[in-house]
Amino acid sequence: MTNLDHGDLIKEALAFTAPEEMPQEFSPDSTLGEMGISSITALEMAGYIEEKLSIVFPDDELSQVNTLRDFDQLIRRHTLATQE
Amino acid sequence: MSVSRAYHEQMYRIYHEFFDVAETKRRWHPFRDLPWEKMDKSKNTEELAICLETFCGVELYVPDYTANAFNMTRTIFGQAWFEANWGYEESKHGLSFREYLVQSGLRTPEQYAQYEEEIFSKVWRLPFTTRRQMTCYGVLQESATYLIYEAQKKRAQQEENELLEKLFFFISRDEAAHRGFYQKVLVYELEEDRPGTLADLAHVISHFEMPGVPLIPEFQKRLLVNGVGITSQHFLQRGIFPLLKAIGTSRSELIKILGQQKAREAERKKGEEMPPAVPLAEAEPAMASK
Repeated sequence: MTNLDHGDLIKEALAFTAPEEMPQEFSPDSTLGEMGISSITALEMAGYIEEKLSIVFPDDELSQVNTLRDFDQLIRRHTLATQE
Repeated sequence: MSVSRAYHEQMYRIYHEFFDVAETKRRWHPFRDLPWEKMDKSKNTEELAICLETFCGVELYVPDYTANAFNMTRTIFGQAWFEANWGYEESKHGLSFREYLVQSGLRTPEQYAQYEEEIFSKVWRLPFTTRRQMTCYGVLQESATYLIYEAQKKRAQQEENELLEKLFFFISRDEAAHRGFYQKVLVYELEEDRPGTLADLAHVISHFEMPGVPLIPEFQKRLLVNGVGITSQHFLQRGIFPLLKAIGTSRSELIKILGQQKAREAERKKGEEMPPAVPLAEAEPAMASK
């Protein structure tokens, strides 16, 4: 996925949790809703990524995720925090 | 399905508390307690008309909501009597929106009548099949409605529309009380059967949609109007996550259950795709050849 550090992981999470919602094209700045990804799927994707990377996203930060870029930034913030 | 004596008693206790607060602190009269003399037609916009008309449309299904709710709860005093109160309170919401739309001139009486006819031409049906699932649905739906009306109240305050601010104050307070009732029932259901209730909650959350979606004319188009709905982020932040915390569960627990449900569903589908079992008479020669 272009311009996203964790694009492949996000794609993998979506493929695992809701393959039927997989869009033909990934656009980092489109909203999840515009790409046909439901909010419950976004939560499941977050759960998949948390388990994979052994991190936990706070609910208030997760609820701010609106686009794939937001998702990417959320992952980056929390993987960096774990490395520090 | 029959329920235990303890279940009946607990529902009665929750209803008793709900009713007491409703009667002592929350009763309001749509014609007398709203400052109709402060109606300011200069604040009329088509955006506001669409918002109020949509809210009114959803409230107009009170006959269908209550008919279904009564059928489902009629043998449980606390729940059935709550539904009677719920229907009464929601009926005031529809009445108030109707009055505002027509008195403000946002819609003519003829336009309103035509809209009402369109609304009544469709029938709302239960989105879920069991009482417990409908409790889960109730808490989500009331929570979303509360958040929508609360946002409208803030907007009216900013626009110095005193009449609408008061109207949304009363209505959002009612919705918060309804959410509170369903939430208490849900907490009790969790005490009685935690895995089953969580499974129902996960199922309802993943299939949830507001009642107006299939019923209100051009609902998706209306959602584009600012204020008709709320964003999914807002609903997660102010509706779902606080609910999960209040009832003693978490996002991760819910996601695990959803994963299990999906896996079972996939297994079930796989089973359906398998060729039908071979009758014994045909199977025996094959077994013998081994």
